[in-house]
Amino acid sequence: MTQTTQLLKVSNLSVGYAKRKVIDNLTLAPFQPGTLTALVGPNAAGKSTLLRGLAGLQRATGAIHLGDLDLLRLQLPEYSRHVGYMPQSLPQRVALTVYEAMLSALRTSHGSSSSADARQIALATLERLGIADLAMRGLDELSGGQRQLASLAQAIARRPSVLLLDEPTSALDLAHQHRVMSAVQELGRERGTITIVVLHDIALAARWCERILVLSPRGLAADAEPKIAITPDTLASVYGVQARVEHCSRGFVQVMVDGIVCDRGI
Amino acid sequence: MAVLAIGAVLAFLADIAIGPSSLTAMEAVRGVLFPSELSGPRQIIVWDVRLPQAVMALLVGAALSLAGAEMQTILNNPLASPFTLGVSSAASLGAALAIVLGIGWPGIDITWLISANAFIFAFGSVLLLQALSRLRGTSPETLVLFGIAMVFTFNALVAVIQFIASQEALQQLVFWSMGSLSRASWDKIAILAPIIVLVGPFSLSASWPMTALRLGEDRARSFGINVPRLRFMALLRVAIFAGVSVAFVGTIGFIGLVGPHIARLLVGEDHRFFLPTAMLSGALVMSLSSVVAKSIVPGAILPVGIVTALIGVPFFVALIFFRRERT
Repeated sequence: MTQTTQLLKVSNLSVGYAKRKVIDNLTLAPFQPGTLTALVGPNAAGKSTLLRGLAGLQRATGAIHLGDLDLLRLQLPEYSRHVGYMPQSLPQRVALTVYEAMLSALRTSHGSSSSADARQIALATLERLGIADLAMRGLDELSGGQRQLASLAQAIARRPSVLLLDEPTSALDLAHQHRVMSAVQELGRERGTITIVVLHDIALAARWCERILVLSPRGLAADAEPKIAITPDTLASVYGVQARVEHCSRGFVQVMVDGIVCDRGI
Repeated sequence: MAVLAIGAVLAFLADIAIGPSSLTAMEAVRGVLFPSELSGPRQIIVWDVRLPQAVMALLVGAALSLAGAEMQTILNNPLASPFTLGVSSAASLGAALAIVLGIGWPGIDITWLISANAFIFAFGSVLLLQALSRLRGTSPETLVLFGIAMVFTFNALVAVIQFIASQEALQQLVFWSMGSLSRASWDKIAILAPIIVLVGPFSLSASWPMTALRLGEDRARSFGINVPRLRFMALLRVAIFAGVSVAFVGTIGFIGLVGPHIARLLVGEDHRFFLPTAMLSGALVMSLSSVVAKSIVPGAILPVGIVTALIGVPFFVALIFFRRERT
Protein backbone atom coordinates (compact mmCIF):
# COMPACT_ATOMS: atom_id res chain seq x y z
CA MET A 1 0.00 0.00 0.00
CA THR A 2 1.42 3.37 -0.97
CA GLN A 3 1.62 5.90 1.79
CA THR A 4 1.74 9.58 1.25
CA THR A 5 4.79 11.11 2.84
CA GLN A 6 4.65 14.56 1.32
CA LEU A 7 3.67 17.75 3.04
CA LEU A 8 0.91 20.00 1.74
CA LYS A 9 1.98 23.64 1.70
CA VAL A 10 -0.37 26.50 1.01
CA SER A 11 1.19 29.88 0.40
CA ASN A 12 -0.20 33.26 -0.65
CA LEU A 13 -3.40 31.57 -1.75
CA SER A 14 -6.23 33.72 -3.04
CA VAL A 15 -9.47 32.09 -4.05
CA GLY A 16 -12.68 33.59 -5.34
CA TYR A 17 -14.50 34.88 -8.34
CA ALA A 18 -13.40 37.17 -11.14
CA LYS A 19 -14.42 40.31 -9.26
CA ARG A 20 -14.30 39.25 -5.65
CA LYS A 21 -11.66 37.39 -3.70
CA VAL A 22 -13.16 35.35 -0.88
CA ILE A 23 -9.85 34.08 0.43
CA ASP A 24 -7.10 36.66 0.21
CA ASN A 25 -3.43 35.87 0.37
CA LEU A 26 -3.65 32.99 2.82
CA THR A 27 -0.51 31.20 3.94
CA LEU A 28 -0.78 28.17 6.19
CA ALA A 29 1.69 26.07 8.13
CA PRO A 30 2.43 22.79 6.25
CA PHE A 31 -0.07 19.95 6.62
CA GLN A 32 1.49 16.70 7.80
CA PRO A 33 0.70 13.33 6.18
CA GLY A 34 -1.84 11.27 8.11
CA THR A 35 -3.29 14.22 9.97
CA LEU A 36 -6.84 15.41 10.27
CA THR A 37 -7.46 19.16 10.21
CA ALA A 38 -10.80 20.83 10.83
CA LEU A 39 -11.83 24.00 9.06
CA VAL A 40 -14.41 25.82 11.16
CA GLY A 41 -15.97 29.25 11.08
CA PRO A 42 -19.28 31.06 10.76
CA ASN A 43 -21.50 30.92 7.70
CA ALA A 44 -20.15 32.85 4.71
CA ALA A 45 -16.60 32.90 6.12
CA GLY A 46 -15.37 31.23 2.93
CA LYS A 47 -14.80 27.70 4.20
CA SER A 48 -16.36 26.01 1.21
CA THR A 49 -14.66 28.42 -1.18
CA LEU A 50 -11.27 27.69 0.38
CA LEU A 51 -11.95 23.97 0.10
CA ARG A 52 -13.01 24.30 -3.53
CA GLY A 53 -9.89 26.33 -4.20
CA LEU A 54 -7.75 23.62 -2.65
CA ALA A 55 -9.66 21.04 -4.72
CA GLY A 56 -8.80 22.85 -7.96
CA LEU A 57 -12.44 23.64 -8.68
CA GLN A 58 -12.34 27.38 -8.10
CA ARG A 59 -10.07 29.96 -9.64
CA ALA A 60 -7.05 30.32 -7.33
CA THR A 61 -3.72 32.10 -7.35
CA GLY A 62 -0.67 31.60 -5.17
CA ALA A 63 0.82 28.17 -4.61
CA ILE A 64 -0.38 24.83 -3.33
CA HIS A 65 2.52 22.41 -3.10
CA LEU A 66 2.20 18.69 -2.47
CA GLY A 67 5.83 17.76 -1.84
CA ASP A 68 7.64 19.36 -4.77
CA LEU A 69 4.60 19.38 -6.99
CA ASP A 70 2.87 22.71 -7.59
CA LEU A 71 -0.73 21.57 -7.84
CA LEU A 72 -2.00 24.84 -9.29
CA ARG A 73 0.07 24.22 -12.41
CA LEU A 74 -1.71 20.92 -13.09
CA GLN A 75 -4.69 20.32 -15.34
CA LEU A 76 -7.83 19.07 -13.61
CA PRO A 77 -7.48 15.36 -14.54
CA GLU A 78 -3.95 15.29 -13.12
CA TYR A 79 -4.94 17.43 -10.13
CA SER A 80 -7.75 15.06 -9.25
CA ARG A 81 -5.30 12.17 -8.97
CA HIS A 82 -3.78 13.83 -5.92
CA VAL A 83 -6.71 15.60 -4.37
CA GLY A 84 -10.11 14.11 -3.51
CA TYR A 85 -13.11 16.27 -2.72
CA MET A 86 -16.51 15.63 -1.23
CA PRO A 87 -18.89 18.50 -1.95
CA GLN A 88 -21.48 19.61 0.55
CA SER A 89 -24.42 19.13 -1.79
CA LEU A 90 -25.68 15.64 -2.34
CA PRO A 91 -27.06 14.48 -5.68
CA GLN A 92 -30.84 14.68 -6.00
CA ARG A 93 -33.21 12.62 -8.14
CA VAL A 94 -30.54 10.32 -9.50
CA ALA A 95 -31.39 6.84 -10.69
CA LEU A 96 -28.08 5.25 -9.72
CA THR A 97 -27.28 2.66 -7.10
CA VAL A 98 -24.64 3.31 -4.46
CA TYR A 99 -22.44 0.78 -6.22
CA GLU A 100 -22.86 2.33 -9.68
CA ALA A 101 -21.98 5.74 -8.28
CA MET A 102 -18.84 4.22 -6.74
CA LEU A 103 -17.85 2.64 -10.05
CA SER A 104 -18.32 5.90 -11.92
CA ALA A 105 -16.06 7.64 -9.38
CA LEU A 106 -13.37 5.01 -9.86
CA ARG A 107 -13.62 4.55 -13.61
CA THR A 108 -13.46 8.23 -14.47
CA SER A 109 -10.39 9.03 -12.40
CA HIS A 110 -7.23 9.79 -14.25
CA GLY A 111 -5.40 6.50 -14.90
CA SER A 112 -8.64 4.81 -13.92
CA SER A 113 -8.61 1.36 -12.47
CA SER A 114 -9.61 -1.68 -14.49
CA SER A 115 -13.17 -2.82 -14.11
CA ALA A 116 -12.22 -5.76 -11.84
CA ASP A 117 -10.13 -3.49 -9.62
CA ALA A 118 -12.86 -0.88 -9.49
CA ARG A 119 -15.42 -3.45 -8.39
CA GLN A 120 -13.18 -4.77 -5.66
CA ILE A 121 -12.20 -1.30 -4.40
CA ALA A 122 -15.82 -0.13 -4.49
CA LEU A 123 -17.04 -3.03 -2.36
CA ALA A 124 -14.10 -2.83 0.05
CA THR A 125 -14.70 0.89 0.60
CA LEU A 126 -18.41 0.41 1.26
CA GLU A 127 -17.53 -2.40 3.65
CA ARG A 128 -15.08 -0.13 5.42
CA LEU A 129 -17.74 2.51 6.00
CA GLY A 130 -20.21 -0.13 7.14
CA ILE A 131 -22.62 0.44 4.25
CA ALA A 132 -21.92 -2.63 2.12
CA ASP A 133 -25.57 -3.64 2.57
CA LEU A 134 -26.61 -0.44 0.76
CA ALA A 135 -24.55 -1.21 -2.35
CA MET A 136 -27.48 -2.16 -4.54
CA ARG A 137 -29.86 0.44 -3.16
CA GLY A 138 -30.71 3.47 -5.26
CA LEU A 139 -29.17 6.75 -4.06
CA ASP A 140 -32.67 8.23 -4.04
CA GLU A 141 -33.96 5.59 -1.65
CA LEU A 142 -31.39 6.41 1.02
CA SER A 143 -31.80 8.58 4.08
CA GLY A 144 -29.80 11.81 4.21
CA GLY A 145 -27.20 10.21 6.45
CA GLN A 146 -26.81 7.17 4.24
CA ARG A 147 -26.39 9.36 1.19
CA GLN A 148 -23.69 11.31 2.95
CA LEU A 149 -21.85 8.06 3.70
CA ALA A 150 -22.20 6.99 0.06
CA SER A 151 -20.85 10.36 -0.99
CA LEU A 152 -17.88 10.01 1.37
CA ALA A 153 -17.23 6.54 -0.02
CA GLN A 154 -16.90 7.98 -3.55
CA ALA A 155 -14.25 10.43 -2.35
CA ILE A 156 -12.13 8.04 -0.31
CA ALA A 157 -12.28 5.13 -2.76
CA ARG A 158 -10.02 7.06 -5.13
CA ARG A 159 -7.23 7.11 -2.51
CA PRO A 160 -6.12 10.69 -2.93
CA SER A 161 -3.08 12.05 -1.06
CA VAL A 162 -5.15 15.02 0.04
CA LEU A 163 -8.77 14.53 1.02
CA LEU A 164 -11.09 17.52 1.33
CA LEU A 165 -14.49 16.97 2.95
CA ASP A 166 -17.15 19.66 3.02
CA GLU A 167 -19.40 19.03 6.03
CA PRO A 168 -19.39 15.24 5.84
CA THR A 169 -21.34 14.89 9.09
CA SER A 170 -24.00 17.57 8.70
CA ALA A 171 -26.86 15.11 8.18
CA LEU A 172 -25.61 12.37 10.47
CA ASP A 173 -26.83 11.19 13.87
CA LEU A 174 -24.36 10.69 16.72
CA ALA A 175 -23.51 7.09 15.84
CA HIS A 176 -23.00 7.89 12.19
CA GLN A 177 -20.92 10.96 13.04
CA HIS A 178 -18.65 8.78 15.11
CA ARG A 179 -18.45 6.15 12.42
CA VAL A 180 -17.56 8.67 9.72
CA MET A 181 -14.98 10.57 11.74
CA SER A 182 -13.27 7.44 13.02
CA ALA A 183 -13.18 5.92 9.53
CA VAL A 184 -11.71 9.11 8.11
CA GLN A 185 -9.12 9.28 10.89
CA GLU A 186 -8.18 5.63 10.62
CA LEU A 187 -7.89 5.64 6.83
CA GLY A 188 -5.93 8.87 6.99
CA ARG A 189 -3.38 7.40 9.39
CA GLU A 190 -3.15 4.15 7.48
CA ARG A 191 -2.66 5.77 4.08
CA GLY A 192 -0.90 8.93 5.19
CA THR A 193 -3.73 11.02 3.75
CA ILE A 194 -3.79 14.72 4.56
CA THR A 195 -7.45 15.31 5.43
CA ILE A 196 -9.07 18.71 5.75
CA VAL A 197 -12.67 18.67 6.85
CA VAL A 198 -15.17 21.51 7.13
CA LEU A 199 -17.24 21.11 10.29
CA HIS A 200 -19.78 23.24 12.10
CA ASP A 201 -19.67 21.27 15.31
CA ILE A 202 -16.62 22.58 17.19
CA ALA A 203 -16.75 19.83 19.80
CA LEU A 204 -16.68 17.24 17.05
CA ALA A 205 -13.78 19.04 15.39
CA ALA A 206 -11.89 19.21 18.68
CA ARG A 207 -12.56 15.55 19.44
CA TRP A 208 -11.17 14.17 16.17
CA CYS A 209 -8.78 16.69 14.65
CA GLU A 210 -5.16 17.41 15.56
CA ARG A 211 -5.43 20.89 14.17
CA ILE A 212 -8.18 23.46 13.77
CA LEU A 213 -8.26 26.34 11.32
CA VAL A 214 -10.74 29.00 12.39
CA LEU A 215 -11.79 31.09 9.42
CA SER A 216 -13.66 34.34 9.77
CA PRO A 217 -14.89 36.64 6.99
CA ARG A 218 -11.87 38.81 7.78
CA GLY A 219 -9.36 36.00 7.32
CA LEU A 220 -7.72 33.31 9.38
CA ALA A 221 -8.47 33.82 13.07
CA ALA A 222 -6.63 30.82 14.50
CA ASP A 223 -4.58 27.87 13.33
CA ALA A 224 -3.48 25.56 16.10
CA GLU A 225 -4.30 22.43 18.05
CA PRO A 226 -7.87 22.51 19.41
CA LYS A 227 -7.00 23.56 22.95
CA ILE A 228 -5.14 26.61 21.70
CA ALA A 229 -7.33 27.51 18.72
CA ILE A 230 -10.66 27.36 20.52
CA THR A 231 -10.85 30.06 23.19
CA PRO A 232 -13.71 32.27 24.41
CA ASP A 233 -12.00 35.24 22.79
CA THR A 234 -11.75 33.54 19.39
CA LEU A 235 -15.38 32.43 19.58
CA ALA A 236 -16.48 35.92 20.53
CA SER A 237 -14.58 37.62 17.75
CA VAL A 238 -15.33 35.08 15.03
CA TYR A 239 -18.84 33.89 15.82
CA GLY A 240 -20.01 36.83 17.93
CA VAL A 241 -21.02 34.55 20.79
CA GLN A 242 -20.34 34.61 24.46
CA ALA A 243 -19.15 31.09 25.19
CA ARG A 244 -17.43 28.97 27.79
CA VAL A 245 -14.72 26.61 26.64
CA GLU A 246 -14.32 23.69 29.04
CA HIS A 247 -12.57 20.37 28.94
CA CYS A 248 -14.29 17.05 29.50
CA SER A 249 -12.95 14.26 31.69
CA ARG A 250 -10.97 12.96 28.74
CA GLY A 251 -9.47 16.33 28.02
CA PHE A 252 -11.46 17.21 24.86
CA VAL A 253 -12.66 20.75 24.29
CA GLN A 254 -16.37 21.40 24.90
CA VAL A 255 -18.07 24.64 23.93
CA MET A 256 -21.12 26.05 25.68
CA VAL A 257 -22.73 29.15 24.24
CA ASP A 258 -24.32 31.45 26.81
CA GLY A 259 -25.28 34.42 24.69
CA ILE A 260 -24.63 36.70 21.77
CA VAL A 261 -21.95 39.36 21.89
CA CYS A 262 -23.33 42.53 20.37
CA ASP A 263 -20.02 43.99 19.38
CA ARG A 264 -18.55 41.45 17.00
CA GLY A 265 -15.57 43.35 15.66
CA ILE A 266 -12.00 43.16 16.89
CA MET B 1 -33.22 -4.73 -22.45
CA ALA B 2 -33.79 -8.08 -24.13
CA VAL B 3 -37.55 -7.59 -23.76
CA LEU B 4 -37.26 -4.16 -25.36
CA ALA B 5 -35.22 -5.58 -28.21
CA ILE B 6 -37.75 -8.36 -28.84
CA GLY B 7 -40.54 -5.81 -28.62
CA ALA B 8 -38.79 -3.61 -31.15
CA VAL B 9 -38.36 -6.55 -33.57
CA LEU B 10 -42.04 -7.51 -33.24
CA ALA B 11 -43.15 -3.91 -33.72
CA PHE B 12 -40.85 -3.71 -36.73
CA LEU B 13 -42.45 -6.80 -38.29
CA ALA B 14 -45.94 -5.51 -37.56
CA ASP B 15 -44.89 -2.23 -39.11
CA ILE B 16 -44.00 -4.02 -42.33
CA ALA B 17 -47.10 -6.20 -42.31
CA ILE B 18 -49.66 -3.49 -41.58
CA GLY B 19 -50.75 -0.93 -44.08
CA PRO B 20 -53.50 -0.11 -46.55
CA SER B 21 -52.69 -3.31 -48.40
CA SER B 22 -52.38 -5.91 -45.67
CA LEU B 23 -49.81 -8.64 -45.60
CA THR B 24 -49.68 -11.44 -43.07
CA ALA B 25 -46.80 -11.47 -40.60
CA MET B 26 -45.38 -14.52 -42.35
CA GLU B 27 -45.56 -12.80 -45.70
CA ALA B 28 -43.77 -9.84 -44.21
CA VAL B 29 -40.96 -11.97 -42.81
CA ARG B 30 -40.61 -13.95 -46.02
CA GLY B 31 -40.82 -10.80 -48.08
CA VAL B 32 -37.86 -9.39 -46.19
CA LEU B 33 -35.80 -12.58 -46.16
CA PHE B 34 -36.65 -13.91 -49.63
CA PRO B 35 -37.84 -11.00 -51.78
CA SER B 36 -38.03 -13.12 -54.93
CA GLU B 37 -40.85 -15.27 -53.46
CA LEU B 38 -43.27 -12.35 -53.41
CA SER B 39 -45.34 -11.25 -56.36
CA GLY B 40 -44.20 -8.10 -58.15
CA PRO B 41 -46.55 -5.54 -56.55
CA ARG B 42 -46.11 -7.03 -53.09
CA GLN B 43 -42.35 -6.99 -53.50
CA ILE B 44 -42.58 -3.30 -54.29
CA ILE B 45 -44.87 -2.69 -51.31
CA VAL B 46 -42.51 -4.46 -48.95
CA TRP B 47 -39.20 -3.23 -50.30
CA ASP B 48 -39.95 0.26 -51.53
CA VAL B 49 -42.67 1.40 -49.14
CA ARG B 50 -42.97 -0.60 -45.95
CA LEU B 51 -39.39 -1.56 -45.27
CA PRO B 52 -37.82 1.90 -45.66
CA GLN B 53 -40.51 3.36 -43.43
CA ALA B 54 -40.15 0.64 -40.83
CA VAL B 55 -36.35 0.91 -40.79
CA MET B 56 -36.57 4.69 -40.66
CA ALA B 57 -38.96 4.46 -37.69
CA LEU B 58 -36.42 2.40 -35.74
CA LEU B 59 -33.49 4.63 -36.68
CA VAL B 60 -35.24 7.92 -36.01
CA GLY B 61 -36.66 6.62 -32.73
CA ALA B 62 -33.24 5.47 -31.59
CA ALA B 63 -31.48 8.67 -32.67
CA LEU B 64 -34.00 11.06 -31.11
CA SER B 65 -34.12 9.10 -27.90
CA LEU B 66 -30.34 8.97 -27.62
CA ALA B 67 -30.19 12.71 -28.28
CA GLY B 68 -32.80 13.28 -25.56
CA ALA B 69 -30.96 11.07 -23.10
CA GLU B 70 -27.69 12.92 -23.59
CA MET B 71 -29.42 16.27 -23.34
CA GLN B 72 -31.17 15.34 -20.10
CA THR B 73 -27.88 14.29 -18.55
CA ILE B 74 -25.71 17.21 -19.57
CA LEU B 75 -28.38 19.78 -18.78
CA ASN B 76 -29.39 17.96 -15.60
CA ASN B 77 -33.02 18.41 -16.55
CA PRO B 78 -35.60 15.68 -17.08
CA LEU B 79 -37.59 17.92 -19.42
CA ALA B 80 -34.76 18.42 -21.88
CA SER B 81 -35.23 16.94 -25.34
CA PRO B 82 -34.59 18.04 -28.92
CA PHE B 83 -38.25 19.02 -29.11
CA THR B 84 -38.53 20.99 -25.88
CA LEU B 85 -35.29 22.90 -26.42
CA GLY B 86 -35.89 24.27 -29.85
CA VAL B 87 -34.16 21.84 -32.20
CA SER B 88 -37.41 20.74 -33.83
CA SER B 89 -38.71 24.31 -34.00
CA ALA B 90 -35.50 25.41 -35.68
CA ALA B 91 -35.86 22.60 -38.19
CA SER B 92 -39.43 23.71 -38.87
CA LEU B 93 -38.21 27.22 -39.53
CA GLY B 94 -35.62 25.91 -41.96
CA ALA B 95 -38.23 23.80 -43.70
CA ALA B 96 -40.69 26.71 -43.80
CA LEU B 97 -38.11 28.95 -45.45
CA ALA B 98 -37.49 26.29 -48.07
CA ILE B 99 -41.15 25.42 -48.68
CA VAL B 100 -42.68 28.85 -48.66
CA LEU B 101 -39.93 31.20 -49.76
CA GLY B 102 -37.72 28.75 -51.60
CA ILE B 103 -34.80 29.95 -49.53
CA GLY B 104 -32.07 27.38 -49.34
CA TRP B 105 -28.43 26.80 -49.89
CA PRO B 106 -27.05 27.07 -53.39
CA GLY B 107 -25.95 23.83 -54.96
CA ILE B 108 -28.38 21.64 -53.05
CA ASP B 109 -30.72 19.59 -55.18
CA ILE B 110 -34.36 20.61 -54.94
CA THR B 111 -35.46 17.20 -53.62
CA TRP B 112 -33.13 17.61 -50.68
CA LEU B 113 -33.71 21.30 -50.16
CA ILE B 114 -36.25 21.00 -47.34
CA SER B 115 -34.26 18.34 -45.49
CA ALA B 116 -31.00 20.21 -45.94
CA ASN B 117 -32.50 23.44 -44.69
CA ALA B 118 -34.14 21.73 -41.74
CA PHE B 119 -30.87 20.06 -40.82
CA ILE B 120 -28.86 23.25 -41.07
CA PHE B 121 -31.29 25.11 -38.84
CA ALA B 122 -31.58 22.28 -36.32
CA PHE B 123 -27.81 21.92 -36.19
CA GLY B 124 -27.46 25.68 -35.93
CA SER B 125 -29.85 25.86 -32.99
CA VAL B 126 -27.77 23.38 -31.03
CA LEU B 127 -24.64 25.30 -31.96
CA LEU B 128 -26.33 28.39 -30.52
CA LEU B 129 -26.94 26.50 -27.29
CA GLN B 130 -23.29 25.45 -27.46
CA ALA B 131 -22.05 28.97 -27.91
CA LEU B 132 -24.04 30.01 -24.89
CA SER B 133 -22.71 27.13 -22.83
CA ARG B 134 -19.16 28.32 -23.54
CA LEU B 135 -19.81 31.67 -21.92
CA ARG B 136 -18.43 31.91 -18.43
CA GLY B 137 -20.91 31.31 -15.66
CA THR B 138 -23.61 29.72 -17.81
CA SER B 139 -25.52 27.17 -15.78
CA PRO B 140 -27.52 24.29 -17.22
CA GLU B 141 -30.66 26.13 -16.07
CA THR B 142 -29.74 29.10 -18.28
CA LEU B 143 -29.29 26.77 -21.23
CA VAL B 144 -32.71 25.21 -20.66
CA LEU B 145 -34.32 28.64 -20.45
CA PHE B 146 -32.51 29.71 -23.59
CA GLY B 147 -33.70 26.55 -25.36
CA ILE B 148 -37.29 27.29 -24.40
CA ALA B 149 -36.87 30.87 -25.58
CA MET B 150 -35.68 29.47 -28.92
CA VAL B 151 -38.82 27.33 -29.19
CA PHE B 152 -41.00 30.43 -28.89
CA THR B 153 -38.86 32.52 -31.21
CA PHE B 154 -38.70 29.93 -33.98
CA ASN B 155 -42.39 29.13 -33.65
CA ALA B 156 -43.20 32.81 -33.98
CA LEU B 157 -41.06 33.09 -37.09
CA VAL B 158 -42.71 30.01 -38.56
CA ALA B 159 -46.11 31.60 -37.84
CA VAL B 160 -45.02 34.73 -39.70
CA ILE B 161 -44.03 32.63 -42.70
CA GLN B 162 -47.29 30.68 -42.50
CA PHE B 163 -49.18 33.95 -42.50
CA ILE B 164 -47.68 35.03 -45.79
CA ALA B 165 -47.63 31.57 -47.37
CA SER B 166 -49.84 30.53 -50.27
CA GLN B 167 -52.58 27.99 -49.61
CA GLU B 168 -50.60 25.21 -51.23
CA ALA B 169 -47.33 26.01 -49.48
CA LEU B 170 -49.15 26.30 -46.18
CA GLN B 171 -50.62 22.84 -46.58
CA GLN B 172 -47.21 21.41 -47.40
CA LEU B 173 -45.67 23.15 -44.42
CA VAL B 174 -48.32 21.98 -41.97
CA PHE B 175 -47.94 18.44 -43.24
CA TRP B 176 -44.17 18.66 -42.93
CA SER B 177 -44.30 19.88 -39.36
CA MET B 178 -46.55 16.99 -38.35
CA GLY B 179 -43.71 14.58 -38.89
CA SER B 180 -44.26 11.65 -41.17
CA LEU B 181 -42.43 8.50 -42.11
CA SER B 182 -43.85 8.61 -45.61
CA ARG B 183 -40.80 10.65 -46.52
CA ALA B 184 -38.55 7.71 -45.70
CA SER B 185 -36.36 6.34 -48.46
CA TRP B 186 -33.33 4.12 -48.76
CA ASP B 187 -31.27 7.22 -49.65
CA LYS B 188 -32.12 8.82 -46.34
CA ILE B 189 -31.52 5.59 -44.46
CA ALA B 190 -28.14 5.43 -46.15
CA ILE B 191 -27.32 8.72 -44.43
CA LEU B 192 -28.94 8.20 -41.02
CA ALA B 193 -27.78 4.63 -40.40
CA PRO B 194 -24.05 5.31 -40.89
CA ILE B 195 -24.37 8.42 -38.71
CA ILE B 196 -25.80 6.35 -35.85
CA VAL B 197 -23.18 3.66 -36.37
CA LEU B 198 -20.32 6.17 -36.49
CA VAL B 199 -21.37 8.71 -33.87
CA GLY B 200 -23.20 6.36 -31.48
CA PRO B 201 -19.98 4.75 -30.20
CA PHE B 202 -18.75 8.19 -29.11
CA SER B 203 -21.86 8.53 -26.98
CA LEU B 204 -21.27 5.13 -25.44
CA SER B 205 -17.58 5.82 -24.85
CA ALA B 206 -18.59 8.82 -22.74
CA SER B 207 -20.69 6.57 -20.50
CA TRP B 208 -18.56 6.82 -17.37
CA PRO B 209 -18.12 10.58 -17.28
CA MET B 210 -21.80 11.04 -18.13
CA THR B 211 -22.76 8.74 -15.26
CA ALA B 212 -20.45 10.65 -12.93
CA LEU B 213 -22.00 13.93 -14.05
CA ARG B 214 -25.31 12.71 -12.63
CA LEU B 215 -23.65 12.92 -9.21
CA GLY B 216 -23.29 16.68 -9.60
CA GLU B 217 -21.00 18.95 -11.57
CA ASP B 218 -18.58 19.67 -8.72
CA ARG B 219 -18.22 16.03 -7.90
CA ALA B 220 -17.70 15.08 -11.53
CA ARG B 221 -15.01 17.75 -11.82
CA SER B 222 -13.36 16.49 -8.66
CA PHE B 223 -13.06 13.12 -10.43
CA GLY B 224 -11.00 14.94 -13.06
CA ILE B 225 -13.73 15.23 -15.69
CA ASN B 226 -13.56 18.24 -17.99
CA VAL B 227 -17.27 19.02 -17.71
CA PRO B 228 -17.44 21.89 -20.23
CA ARG B 229 -15.76 19.71 -22.82
CA LEU B 230 -18.06 16.78 -22.01
CA ARG B 231 -21.08 19.07 -22.48
CA PHE B 232 -19.69 20.47 -25.71
CA MET B 233 -19.09 17.05 -27.25
CA ALA B 234 -22.47 15.74 -26.14
CA LEU B 235 -24.30 18.75 -27.58
CA LEU B 236 -22.44 18.22 -30.85
CA ARG B 237 -23.71 14.64 -30.98
CA VAL B 238 -27.21 15.83 -30.10
CA ALA B 239 -27.03 18.32 -32.97
CA ILE B 240 -26.12 15.57 -35.40
CA PHE B 241 -28.66 12.97 -34.21
CA ALA B 242 -31.57 15.35 -33.80
CA GLY B 243 -30.72 17.49 -36.82
CA VAL B 244 -30.63 14.59 -39.26
CA SER B 245 -33.69 12.85 -37.79
CA VAL B 246 -35.89 15.91 -37.81
CA ALA B 247 -34.66 16.89 -41.25
CA PHE B 248 -35.78 13.56 -42.71
CA VAL B 249 -39.09 12.93 -40.98
CA GLY B 250 -40.17 16.32 -39.67
CA THR B 251 -41.18 17.23 -36.16
CA ILE B 252 -41.59 14.22 -33.94
CA GLY B 253 -42.08 15.43 -30.45
CA PHE B 254 -42.42 12.89 -27.83
CA ILE B 255 -39.73 10.31 -28.48
CA GLY B 256 -36.72 12.31 -27.35
CA LEU B 257 -38.43 13.02 -24.04
CA VAL B 258 -40.07 9.74 -23.19
CA GLY B 259 -37.51 7.29 -24.62
CA PRO B 260 -34.90 8.27 -22.00
CA HIS B 261 -37.50 8.21 -19.23
CA ILE B 262 -38.58 4.69 -20.10
CA ALA B 263 -34.93 3.66 -20.09
CA ARG B 264 -34.35 5.36 -16.74
CA LEU B 265 -37.27 3.53 -15.19
CA LEU B 266 -36.03 0.23 -16.54
CA VAL B 267 -32.27 0.29 -15.98
CA GLY B 268 -31.44 3.46 -14.05
CA GLU B 269 -28.80 5.93 -15.11
CA ASP B 270 -25.62 3.93 -15.40
CA HIS B 271 -25.03 5.25 -18.91
CA ARG B 272 -23.43 2.02 -20.10
CA PHE B 273 -26.96 0.59 -19.99
CA PHE B 274 -29.02 3.77 -19.96
CA LEU B 275 -27.95 5.04 -23.39
CA PRO B 276 -28.47 1.77 -25.34
CA THR B 277 -31.77 1.17 -23.52
CA ALA B 278 -32.89 4.68 -24.40
CA MET B 279 -32.12 3.93 -28.06
CA LEU B 280 -34.09 0.70 -27.92
CA SER B 281 -37.08 2.20 -26.16
CA GLY B 282 -37.12 5.14 -28.58
CA ALA B 283 -37.01 2.71 -31.51
CA LEU B 284 -39.79 0.61 -29.97
CA VAL B 285 -42.14 3.52 -29.25
CA MET B 286 -41.53 4.98 -32.70
CA SER B 287 -42.16 1.66 -34.38
CA LEU B 288 -45.35 1.09 -32.38
CA SER B 289 -46.45 4.61 -33.27
CA SER B 290 -45.94 3.85 -36.92
CA VAL B 291 -48.09 0.72 -36.59
CA VAL B 292 -50.83 2.65 -34.81
CA ALA B 293 -50.63 5.49 -37.34
CA LYS B 294 -51.53 2.99 -40.02
CA SER B 295 -54.28 1.27 -38.03
CA ILE B 296 -56.40 4.08 -36.56
CA VAL B 297 -58.12 5.14 -39.76
CA PRO B 298 -58.60 2.18 -42.12
CA GLY B 299 -57.01 2.75 -45.47
CA ALA B 300 -55.22 5.94 -44.40
CA ILE B 301 -51.89 6.61 -42.74
CA LEU B 302 -51.83 9.33 -40.14
CA PRO B 303 -48.64 11.36 -39.82
CA VAL B 304 -46.65 9.53 -37.19
CA GLY B 305 -45.79 12.72 -35.34
CA ILE B 306 -49.42 12.93 -34.25
CA VAL B 307 -49.41 9.42 -32.89
CA THR B 308 -46.15 9.33 -30.93
CA ALA B 309 -47.62 11.10 -27.92
CA LEU B 310 -50.81 9.06 -28.07
CA ILE B 311 -48.74 5.88 -27.92
CA GLY B 312 -45.93 7.10 -25.72
CA VAL B 313 -48.01 8.47 -22.86
CA PRO B 314 -49.99 5.31 -22.01
CA PHE B 315 -46.84 3.23 -22.38
CA PHE B 316 -45.01 5.55 -20.03
CA VAL B 317 -47.82 5.75 -17.46
CA ALA B 318 -48.19 1.96 -17.50
CA LEU B 319 -44.50 1.62 -16.80
CA ILE B 320 -44.65 4.04 -13.87
CA PHE B 321 -47.53 2.09 -12.31
CA PHE B 322 -45.82 -1.20 -12.95
CA ARG B 323 -42.67 0.04 -11.23
CA ARG B 324 -44.64 1.38 -8.29
CA GLU B 325 -46.33 -1.96 -7.73
CA ARG B 326 -43.03 -3.76 -7.74
CA THR B 327 -41.30 -1.55 -5.22
